[in-house]
Amino acid sequence: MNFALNEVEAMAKKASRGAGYSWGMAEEAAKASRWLCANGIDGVNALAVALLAADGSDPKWMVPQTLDEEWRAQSGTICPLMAGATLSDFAGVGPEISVGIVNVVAPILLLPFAANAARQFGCPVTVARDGVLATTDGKGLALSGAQSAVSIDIAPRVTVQRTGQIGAKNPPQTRATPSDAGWAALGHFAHRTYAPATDESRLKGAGAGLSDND
Amino acid sequence: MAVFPPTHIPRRAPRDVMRLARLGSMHQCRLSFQRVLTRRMAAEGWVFSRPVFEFDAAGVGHAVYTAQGPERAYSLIAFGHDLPPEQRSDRVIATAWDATFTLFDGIPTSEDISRLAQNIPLQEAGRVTETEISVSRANRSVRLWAHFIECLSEGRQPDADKVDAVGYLMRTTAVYGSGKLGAADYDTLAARPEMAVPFQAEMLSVFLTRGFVRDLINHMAHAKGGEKAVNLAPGIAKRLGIGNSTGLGLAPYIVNHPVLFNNWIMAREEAIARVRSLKTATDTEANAFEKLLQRSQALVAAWHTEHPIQIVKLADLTLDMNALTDQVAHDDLRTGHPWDRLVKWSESALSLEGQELLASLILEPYGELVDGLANTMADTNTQAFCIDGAMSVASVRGLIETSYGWALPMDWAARDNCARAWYVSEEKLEPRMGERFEEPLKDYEQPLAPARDAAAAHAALLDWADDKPIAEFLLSHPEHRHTIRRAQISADAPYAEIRDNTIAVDVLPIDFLRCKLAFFGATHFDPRSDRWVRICMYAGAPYPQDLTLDNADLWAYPEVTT
Repeated sequence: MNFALNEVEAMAKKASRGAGYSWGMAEEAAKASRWLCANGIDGVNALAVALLAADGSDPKWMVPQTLDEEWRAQSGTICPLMAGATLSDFAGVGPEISVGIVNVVAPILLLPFAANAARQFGCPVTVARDGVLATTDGKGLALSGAQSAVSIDIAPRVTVQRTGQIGAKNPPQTRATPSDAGWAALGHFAHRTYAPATDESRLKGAGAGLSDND
Repeated sequence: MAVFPPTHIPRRAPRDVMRLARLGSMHQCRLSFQRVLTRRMAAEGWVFSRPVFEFDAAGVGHAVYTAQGPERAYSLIAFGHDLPPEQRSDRVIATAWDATFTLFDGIPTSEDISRLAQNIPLQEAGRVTETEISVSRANRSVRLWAHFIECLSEGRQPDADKVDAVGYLMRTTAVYGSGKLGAADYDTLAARPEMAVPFQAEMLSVFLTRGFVRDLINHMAHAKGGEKAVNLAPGIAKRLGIGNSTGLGLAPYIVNHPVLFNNWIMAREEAIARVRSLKTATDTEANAFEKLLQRSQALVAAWHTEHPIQIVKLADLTLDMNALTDQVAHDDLRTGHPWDRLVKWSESALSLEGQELLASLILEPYGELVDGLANTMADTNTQAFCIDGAMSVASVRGLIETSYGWALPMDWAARDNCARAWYVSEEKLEPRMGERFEEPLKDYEQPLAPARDAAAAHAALLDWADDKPIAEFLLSHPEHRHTIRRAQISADAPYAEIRDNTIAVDVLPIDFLRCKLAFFGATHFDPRSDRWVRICMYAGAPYPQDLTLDNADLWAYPEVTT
């Protein structure tokens, strides 16, 4: 089934919140998923991988501990949303971004944040690891390397740096065609944000109660 | 490009404009989305047709209404159903309706219609595609529908009193757009000139729906009465609008879209400032205002409500209209900044309803100054979402203080200050508002209390050095990220934030609804509770085939004879 990008964004936001992220991070995750889908990558599945890894742990443990040349998290694995947001937030702060990120989950999710950085730098940013090179100019995404390696669940090390040029970009997409499993996984997390209905809330919460048959 | 006279009177301050009581007293104006649409379609000479209309005597069948613009066509596909009375509900939990609709991008083939016939009647339980732009449904006003069928089938016209008491034959209970249920994303349409102003597709859908409802009542009356039956008289048909029943689902929208909401308010405030800055008015302009003031009075007189809050507001507004008429009678309205003088007078002489009606009304004689601002009302600033991590802690604190200075000293633990909690129900996946201290909602609360959250973020920021980049704060405090984003958005969007407590014990969700619906162009606001409102859309408007440059704009004001 294909989805509107707004549907992806709405689902991703609820799912990330359901997995324990703050609302602000859930908004980032939503935009990130959408951005990937708009660039022809299954951002739904990537987010599902990230949320499954984070589920049950405090996302704070998956944050880069120090912002030196090599980013590591206390829990051992780094959350791509937390690392990505940090990348985007510090793009305008430091003199240069050139970092290695160790044990990053669903690394493709770094790309939308690298795109934020690229727009702030005014030049393309490359996210690289063994066999895959992904470059974004802030809007589009160019990939080289094996397609099967694009959506791996965890990368031992990823480097992020500015670059001078971008190759042939993925054609932009107006619809998302996520994997069934990825969509279902997000639905599972999203469900946690819904308050169970009670008789009282049915009546009071919506404020109805008058007859509409008039 | 038009050159405007300098605006020396500033826009009204956000701290005054963005109060919920004032937003909840807004009225339609030249920038309302319905009027923007009818003006555009008339100016561009859109052509309307009804290529399909196949219904039985019970109103079961389907029809296609096509609106052909200069570059593209859009078609409303309407499905009629035979709905048992016990299933008729305005609430979002309904599963069947009298009629269901989709706005199709182009002209549908019979295959498209077959596919949509399997999905549109199911609404949320169905699925649409990128060629559909909106999905909606409507229920009959039972009393009025039966009366109309009875009269028309017997060759009589319906009673004017009954028409005016309800105002519409059908009311929509949801109009979904922007990708909902699989429909086209707004992004895919935004570059089209006719879709550049917000909600134009939804407004077009409702405009065409009104024509369908008239055709259906005529068809069913003829099916029942045969040769005796008559068509609904054009004069009565014109007074009928399309009703709409809106609940809490719409309320969070203006909080969740701060840039967009800012742009709506900013456009109207800029329009008001431009007109107030005019040193003089011509006879034509002053006369146009006086004429529309009379017609506004007729609009207010025809506005009915049973809700105690709106009854009081309406009584005040009626007094306001008298006071305003008196004031205008003693004012030449030609010299000495006449519009600014009136607005200043209204600030102490009229209720908020009256003040906002006047603010909308002074824009009427000045299409050239005002109408272009409609093109600034969409949210095209995709960069606003991205947090500027280099901004200093002191700057972010300053932005929070500007929008939420009033909220910082409040005791946010006090029950009355946080009595309500917004959540999404498992049952229907729609926003609801509950009692924080009476229901188990804590784990499900939606981020719809920006004032409380701003106070919390501000308190956390006090521990941070002024010159630290906000990126460092966010690394330690991801829980404040949504608030920091809103604060940065407000730097360029001064009207983005509501200056009231959205979880207070006395918050009125109908204020949120009223504001948004006024921007749509709705009239006859009739709250059914503190979180549920019925309105009328397109009452007085020409029907599609009758749309001309002469009647495309001021239809919202009833004609009066003098």
